[in-house]
Amino acid sequence: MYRYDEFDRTFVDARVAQFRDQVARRLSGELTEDQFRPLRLMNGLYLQLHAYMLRIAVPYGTLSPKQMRMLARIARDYDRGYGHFTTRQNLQFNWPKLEDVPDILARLAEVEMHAIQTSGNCIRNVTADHFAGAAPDEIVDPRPMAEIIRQWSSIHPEFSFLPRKFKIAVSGGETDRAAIRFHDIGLQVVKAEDGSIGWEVWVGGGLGRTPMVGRLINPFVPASDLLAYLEAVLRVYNLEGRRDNKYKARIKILVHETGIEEIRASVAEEFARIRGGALTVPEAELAAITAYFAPPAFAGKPAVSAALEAAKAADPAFAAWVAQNVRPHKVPGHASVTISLKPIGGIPGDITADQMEAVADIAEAHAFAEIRASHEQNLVLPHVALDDLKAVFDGLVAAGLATANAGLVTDIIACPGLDYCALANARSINIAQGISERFGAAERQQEIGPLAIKISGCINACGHHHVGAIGILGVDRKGEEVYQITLGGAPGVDAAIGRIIGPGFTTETIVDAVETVVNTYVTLRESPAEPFLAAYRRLGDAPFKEALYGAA
Amino acid sequence: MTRAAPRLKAVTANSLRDGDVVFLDPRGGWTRAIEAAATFDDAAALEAALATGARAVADTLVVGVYAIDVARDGLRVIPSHIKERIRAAGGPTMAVGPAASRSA
Repeated sequence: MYRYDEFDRTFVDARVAQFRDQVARRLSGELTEDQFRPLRLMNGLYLQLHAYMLRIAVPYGTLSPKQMRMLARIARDYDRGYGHFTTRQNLQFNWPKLEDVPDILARLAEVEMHAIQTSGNCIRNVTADHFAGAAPDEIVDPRPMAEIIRQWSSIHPEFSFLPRKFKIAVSGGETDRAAIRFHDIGLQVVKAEDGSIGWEVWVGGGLGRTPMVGRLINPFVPASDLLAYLEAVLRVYNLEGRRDNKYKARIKILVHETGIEEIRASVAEEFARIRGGALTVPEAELAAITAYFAPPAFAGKPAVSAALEAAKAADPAFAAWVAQNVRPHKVPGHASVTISLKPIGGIPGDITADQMEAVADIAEAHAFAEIRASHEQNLVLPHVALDDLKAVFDGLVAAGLATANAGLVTDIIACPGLDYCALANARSINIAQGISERFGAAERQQEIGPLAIKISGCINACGHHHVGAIGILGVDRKGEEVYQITLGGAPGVDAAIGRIIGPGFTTETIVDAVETVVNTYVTLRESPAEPFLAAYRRLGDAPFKEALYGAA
Repeated sequence: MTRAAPRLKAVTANSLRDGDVVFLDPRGGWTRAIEAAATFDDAAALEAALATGARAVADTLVVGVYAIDVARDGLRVIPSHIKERIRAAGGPTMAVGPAASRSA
């Protein structure tokens, strides 16, 4: 993975020192909260309901065991022994004390991590397909370009005070596991007929209070020109995006109000002006960054592992976990593993310090020392030899991390909601726990098959409810929690925004309502092979409405 | 569900140093226990309490001072809004972290 050079190290260390001074001046009263707030937010430090919250960037979701161990150490020394992985592949600590934050940032800097640009109206942490570099359907690993974008966008002077925050996601191929159509800019690797590699650029997608599917603005931008093209898009947005209304300030509103054709023309004009200039990515530089992401030295192995097959035959729990949480790898004899952070009845995305260390140990021993955070709030070991899967499983079982539910109904995305978040209107975690308990039995989950439930505690949609096959949005009705159900959302290539099915439900009735929706699907699907989305698109709202609310 | 009498208020903030939820107490200090919070049923007293809060902000003790609706039930002080009930509880409404992991 990428290693800091002297510039990166000096820059991050300087930021730690700067923030240490800012915190001292805040504690002494030299800075007021109004003066301090934008400074702390630039370093990822929020003030939530019960405490400060520190959001740490995990660039393109890639972590080393050393970094994971440091996160564990911070969790133990400065927090309450756990952290929370978010839908933007970041890690949040929920209980840091203000005076400790400079020390926490110093420790992060020791392992080449920081919290810069995890808040504020700037270009945020670039997210990526969590199977990047491992997926058989990938054209090339998108992370080298994500790293180049990270370098370009870090304290970019022109783009540090945009109309609103700006999120970029990258995918290495057509299969979209990074929800690129729901980002301000989504990038997908494409291969031209002559074999050259370029990028498809999507713009103006997003969730939040005005969910929109991104529009294709350019079907092919050569890799060497991508930074110039991104700069052109950002420049048009920075100049034309609305600053009069926070809720209309994202690029999706600009694209919607101006029209994709006009935006495309404006970007093309700016691109033509700056193309071939300072932002051209030299081939040597791209090659040098790509070398950091070189695949591990995989041993030549047969496609089928006798050891794996024997272990599966001997241990049904292991076989069930392999069937659910292990997926094919581009190199024969290897696989990618999803480590579920969704124990039945647990809190989506939460992980204890002990578990972080266990994952680091397993990754080092059996997974080429590489870990990923997924936007689905799980962890991934992208590279594991089939022969080693049993050892990985045994380690995960010992750490309480072997829940075999990747992609199933209990693999729920949920934001922290009103249990932590100052913006939330309703709790999310308790609803996720209730649904997880309700469907927790392995046979029941298998009967239902793959199904994405996503829960947000407010309209900002951190829990991606708009793109859940079943989405749940918590709202505030006169000081009490009410939950709206949306159906038919999809985050990938078949991107769709879920539709509200009808009146909301209470904390007491929402789990029953979700079960009603699930039962309706299971009853009416053509076969167990028909996914929820296909069934919903075929059947429409009517049968689900009737099941939930009775005949009209 | 207990509903607040519309007039009764308490004054809350977060501690500057650790972010903890705090409430103004009857002596003008800050407590983490809502049972120990001062409650106000007239506008002048509330205004004075908010002024005390503003001084505590200036003295770098707390941030984000505001009034919340509460009800009294014997010795208990119960915020009207669920968000404030969760804040007053001092943490999430479920077991979290290592404790949750052990019970899972």
